[in-house]
Amino acid sequence: MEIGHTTQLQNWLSVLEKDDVRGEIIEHTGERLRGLARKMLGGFPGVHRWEETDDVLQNALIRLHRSLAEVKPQSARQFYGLATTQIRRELLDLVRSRFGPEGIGKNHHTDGGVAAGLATDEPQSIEDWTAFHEEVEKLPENEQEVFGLIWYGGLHQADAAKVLGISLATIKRRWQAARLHLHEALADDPAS
Amino acid sequence: MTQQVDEDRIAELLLRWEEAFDHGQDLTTEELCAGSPELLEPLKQRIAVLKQMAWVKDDPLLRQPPSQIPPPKILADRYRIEGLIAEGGHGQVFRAFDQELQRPVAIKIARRRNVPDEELLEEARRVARLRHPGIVAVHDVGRHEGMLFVVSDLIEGKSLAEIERPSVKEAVRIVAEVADALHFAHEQGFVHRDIKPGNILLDGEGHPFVADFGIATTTEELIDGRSVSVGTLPYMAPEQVAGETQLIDRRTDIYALGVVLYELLTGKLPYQARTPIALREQILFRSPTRIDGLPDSVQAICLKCLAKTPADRYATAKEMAADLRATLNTSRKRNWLIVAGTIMLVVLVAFSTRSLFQPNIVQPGSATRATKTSINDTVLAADKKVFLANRNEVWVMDNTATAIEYSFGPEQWKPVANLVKTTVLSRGTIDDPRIGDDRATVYVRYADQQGNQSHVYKIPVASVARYSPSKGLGQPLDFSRFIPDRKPPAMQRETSQ
Repeated sequence: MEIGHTTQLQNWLSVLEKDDVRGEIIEHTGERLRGLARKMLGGFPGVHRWEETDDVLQNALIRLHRSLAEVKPQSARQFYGLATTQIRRELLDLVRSRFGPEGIGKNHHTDGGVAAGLATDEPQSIEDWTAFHEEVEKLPENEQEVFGLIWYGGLHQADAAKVLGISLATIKRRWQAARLHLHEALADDPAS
Repeated sequence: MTQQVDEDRIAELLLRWEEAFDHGQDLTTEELCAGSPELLEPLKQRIAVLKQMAWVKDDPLLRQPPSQIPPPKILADRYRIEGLIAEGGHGQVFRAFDQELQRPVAIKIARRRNVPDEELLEEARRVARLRHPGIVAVHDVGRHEGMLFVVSDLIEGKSLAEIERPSVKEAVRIVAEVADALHFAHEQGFVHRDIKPGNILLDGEGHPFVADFGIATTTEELIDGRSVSVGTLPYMAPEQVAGETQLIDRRTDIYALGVVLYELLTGKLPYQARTPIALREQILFRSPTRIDGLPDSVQAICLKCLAKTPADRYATAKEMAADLRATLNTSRKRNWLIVAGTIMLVVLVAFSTRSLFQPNIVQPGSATRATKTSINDTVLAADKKVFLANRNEVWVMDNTATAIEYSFGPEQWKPVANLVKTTVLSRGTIDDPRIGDDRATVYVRYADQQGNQSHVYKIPVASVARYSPSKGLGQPLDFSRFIPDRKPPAMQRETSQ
């Protein structure tokens, strides 16, 4: 019964042509933000319970709402560009404000020992997540756009191709290049 | 130039590798670089990187389209695959033939999950121990190209999702049988968590079988927090929707079975919404629409299953089955009074409908009315949402996404419980459509004279709704009961925006 993402995309695009879609943006970005924040914060001690993650998110949602309230996207590309940029910024802000020097997670132990033994680049600490979001912002524009649509926006590759008006092969290539660049950047980053 | 050509070729080879890898095939760099040994090393390095970055693709939030895994012809040298029966979020189900025991079977190949294979196998073994005439029996488990497969009975028939709407009597009988099977599984420590018409199969004689215990979990897993909240949204109980896994138990299945019963009786789901978010909100806060023309006894069972609070539902599926069967027995005894009974039922339904809806009617002078006299009517029109209360302000957001702030004036250093009670609650009640967002949260803050934040108590509306017995719906709630009876800690200035 869950509405398929492609169907949803088509609905939004048809609405976009004739109507105001700010409500849809807020709904979509809010859902993604909640989901990604939950994934990101869920691994930190003291933020296991969803209610606590939700608590962290409330202010982020207000800001998100404010920033999108005056926006009227003219295309699907702009629509998703706005949404994914906002999600990325809010996630970054969440980590910084919640777990920065004065945040409640300031005493969180970065388990470098465990992380070092893992055959994955998945962020394992607050610093890792901060670096991850920051490095996404530094990706070449076309790779950042594709990474944003797929990872932050939750689009399928085929849908991302439609939104950007490029071929699926190009999407695949940029998606791959973005991951390679991210790995390289994170490996060079002293925080990781 | 040559370097660019190499980069392009490496990128092409990487794409080829990744496509095969996504389908369970790990091509070697030697295979890929046949004839181009100079690309071997850089390709190897990049494949290693992509494997390290695989977590980006494993993100469960990214809804992957169903994978088109070509069905194998023979599985584990024993099962001959004959065709795809169904495909869903949890995997593919094939019709197959067991060449050893010479019988048809169903084989489910599970989609890769973010848990170790050993745990999946252990889960499948536990399911295989469930033996009940109303549960699809599991015979064998194994692996195919790294993916788990489960061999079970092949039920020749249709699922409840595919049949015509049955009579009330037939629906009651089917659901009672399913409740028996569920009770058995519950007693073994299982919670299904994805009961829905598609997972209830009817054989040729109309007997139901509960299928797809693939995501079923044991109570130990729930207690350990190893299980996450999964399910199919329209059939998910409020505690699942809210992600409160600690509240998930057998009564979560009873809720879902209540939705199935409702759907069989009416042909509709109890909640209909345009978007998943709206549906979640309805599951959390709305009362289901009553079913016209249905015997009160059946209606009462259905609504009891759909109670928001688990404590208000049946404690066991066995009790539910007993109540359902009692309605069948009662109807038999009263056959000679069919006409009179029908008239009585109509009267009863009409009466109960009226009495049940009574609390929701806004009375003159009630909280909602008071709201409209004290707050701008335009803002509080029916399509507006009370989003949250912040400091001494309440934010009301309307459908065009305009944020409107209301300040309640400089408040003295004191708990603002009463403030909340007289502001948020005066706007309506917990099932007021204006408090309609599943993200709605009431914040109660202690503040000093300058309005600086000192401490925040957060009260999720979902928790309040569940805390309140269903009979409390439509009545103002006293939020002060949720505020700990202690003084706020030392003041801190709000650092975020």
